Amino acid sequence: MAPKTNYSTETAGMLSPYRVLDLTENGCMYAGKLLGDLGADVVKVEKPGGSPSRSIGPFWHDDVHPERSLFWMAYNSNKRGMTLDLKSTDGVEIFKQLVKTADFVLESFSPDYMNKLGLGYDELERINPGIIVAAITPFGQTGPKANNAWCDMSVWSSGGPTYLTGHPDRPPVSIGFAHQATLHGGAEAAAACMIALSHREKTGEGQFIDVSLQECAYWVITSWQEFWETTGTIPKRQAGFAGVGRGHTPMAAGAARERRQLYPCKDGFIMYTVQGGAWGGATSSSAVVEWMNEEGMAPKWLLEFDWVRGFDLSNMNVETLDALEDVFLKFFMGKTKLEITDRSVQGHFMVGPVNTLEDVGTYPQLQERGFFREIWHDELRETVTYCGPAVVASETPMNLRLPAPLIGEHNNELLTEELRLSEDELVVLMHAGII
Amino acid sequence: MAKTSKALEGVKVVVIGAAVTAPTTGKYLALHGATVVRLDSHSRMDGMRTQRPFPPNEAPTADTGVWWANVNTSTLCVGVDWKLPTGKKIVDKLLRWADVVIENFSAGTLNALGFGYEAVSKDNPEVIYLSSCLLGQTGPLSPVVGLGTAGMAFGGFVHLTGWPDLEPTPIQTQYTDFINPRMGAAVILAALDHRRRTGKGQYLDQAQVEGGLQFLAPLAMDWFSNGRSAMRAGNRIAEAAPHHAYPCKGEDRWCFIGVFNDNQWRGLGLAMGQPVWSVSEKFGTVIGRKENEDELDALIGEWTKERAAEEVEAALQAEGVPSSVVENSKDTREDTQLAHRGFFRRIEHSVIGEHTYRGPCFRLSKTPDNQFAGPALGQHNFEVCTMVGMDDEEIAEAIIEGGLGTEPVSVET
Repeated sequence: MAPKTNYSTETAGMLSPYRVLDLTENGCMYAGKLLGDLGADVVKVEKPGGSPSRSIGPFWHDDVHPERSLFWMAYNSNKRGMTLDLKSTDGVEIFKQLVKTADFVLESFSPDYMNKLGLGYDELERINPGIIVAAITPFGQTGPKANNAWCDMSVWSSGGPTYLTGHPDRPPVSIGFAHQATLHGGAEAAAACMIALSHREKTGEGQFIDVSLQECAYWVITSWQEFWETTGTIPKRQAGFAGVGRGHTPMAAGAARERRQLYPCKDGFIMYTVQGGAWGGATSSSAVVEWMNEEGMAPKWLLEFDWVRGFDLSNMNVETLDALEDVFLKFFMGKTKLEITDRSVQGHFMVGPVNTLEDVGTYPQLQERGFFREIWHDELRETVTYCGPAVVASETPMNLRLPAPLIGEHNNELLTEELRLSEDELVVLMHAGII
Repeated sequence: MAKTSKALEGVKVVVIGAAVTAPTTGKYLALHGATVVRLDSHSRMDGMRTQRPFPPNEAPTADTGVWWANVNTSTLCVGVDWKLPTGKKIVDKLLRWADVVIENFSAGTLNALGFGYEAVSKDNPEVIYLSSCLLGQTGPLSPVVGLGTAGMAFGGFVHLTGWPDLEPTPIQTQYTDFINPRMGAAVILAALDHRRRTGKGQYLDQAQVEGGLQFLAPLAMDWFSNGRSAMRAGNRIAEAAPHHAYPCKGEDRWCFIGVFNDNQWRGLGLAMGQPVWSVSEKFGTVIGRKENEDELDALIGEWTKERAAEEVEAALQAEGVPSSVVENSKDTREDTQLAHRGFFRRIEHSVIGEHTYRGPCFRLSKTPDNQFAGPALGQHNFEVCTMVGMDDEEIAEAIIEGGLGTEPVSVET
């Protein structure tokens, strides 16, 4: 079978002169993944036998095996890989050798762990004054919670988003893929690394970056974060009636109730909010009413409704809001997600189809843009379909150059070709469990 | 070499847009010393300026929305009506002055106005120009307009969130608006670094749904590899049991607990005072705990509901069990860790007065951030126009004609 692949030989990425040593785990691995997508030479360093993140599912062909983790593949493509026991003296020495020619070190160990290994920032800076070290931890390097036991959802909960997610009569709930805190931390670390790189360009000096996942989580809670200080109220989770969005929301003062945000439709759900007033809301609602009218589904009173002046949430009674939303509910029930979305393009109203992963995987928009990319995996004798990069860049395309590495896949090229270790030395290191 | 305390000092940025994504991307650069001009319009201002809440005793105006001030910290604001020749001239000058342009209008909008990449790069070939919209600049659905509320629905987050026996749960934020700026900032600065080496500018097309999908990538791959379309499952995950928000004493108080291994399970038992069930064989293995998760959740909930959430967290932390109070917006403001980090800053705003702002999510050891309050509409009109080389006479003309302004004009024009 001929390899069908998007593997690119293009190497001149935005960050191609730079090397990243990536010691992170879990969603924090996205930091190195983003830098790799940008063209940096990212070396994922994992412990001999393989990283614990290889045990995170789902798995390729549902084959539960450390070389088949789709989580691992997703966040380690565009990286090379090597094994190294950083708890061994040889491991530490080899890592220090690598730091000499590296530009970034990414790590997500507990605070102080790198110091205990003899690889703290002060030591690495002594070896390479330009080194930029990004440490991603749940709560930052110091402070009362710095050493708390944590998982992704506990730290997500400490930052505020969990409380605001879910139904009012049920417990707060996770975002469906419970790796969000660490993924945000990874993306944040990549941005911080680029800020530090700008400083280094001017001064030659590297620095230490201390990323807090709790703070990353806090950033996502939108304007809800402002209510306690200004109004003394605590915003609550409201499921499909959240109404966060344009103009008047969160809930306008004096409004009878929050508006419905989730509407069932023929093949699932869409997100839509009836809106009015002068800021574009009226044209959006009128556009849907026009569509209803074309199909004979708009009652007379609705055709006469004044969306600019008649839609004032602070003066609207519940009956009017109920009546408005009921018409929309009935109408959308007869349409599919794609029909509604297509119509929103010509009608200029705002809607969000609640896509399933199947919808996502087969979405014409994403396919047309070539978002999903296939990479040939020699060891699987098959291509694996990956998500493409976060941004499409015109001059230095963010390609998928490399599949995620196998355990120790690039040990030889890094240790032999680069650090000039002999074959005998590799044998010794392997036997001692260091690589 | 000369030292500077601001990492991005000298980088010139123009943010044209509204709501969260483009301004937040600019905020990353602004917080670290870039000169970021927040182009707003007094003829059709960013609607988020009048989004609630407002400080007590302040009428809702263009300048009293604290959320807008928060999102736009450390930027300079110019108020322009680009439909007028003097206003358009100011935008043209700014776009030619800029090293970086960040915009989040719907696809193609700025092209139609003559402010698109193609037009700007003719005179400013080195510009790094990021366009951010829901579905990207190309493809059949590229004209779709929407915020991160739609973005999270398009990308799969809403379908995946909530309870399997109920409808999907909209996440109570414009979720993808808070994912994409992190990536946008990183990519812009990488492109600037590439420009430093090569002299080449470029165009960056950010589809917010594609950015969002980075955070669900393994599940998208699961669809391709296994034909599985993942489903929402409350707080259940494959790797842990228990893993849930448990009810605590008081109204709507919760503690999140996750147990991933035997050590943590033993810790949980110790924290609870070893109730009989906690040492039963049924829960003795990870497989047993997973198989009996409903019962386990009920039993743990019986224990937690008698105690304050803070008390539960403290007892579990003492035994090394992953746990946290499910903090509400009051809890986070009083969080001892965030206080220790100096995450919240009291900053003076020209109209609002002193107010609390969130800092960045990371600390740089040598180049601390530089935060000042988000500006009033057109607060820096004179300063910005001078910066792009306009003289007093030109500025006066723009003010008289209405191309420059500080007061929002009627929206019904």
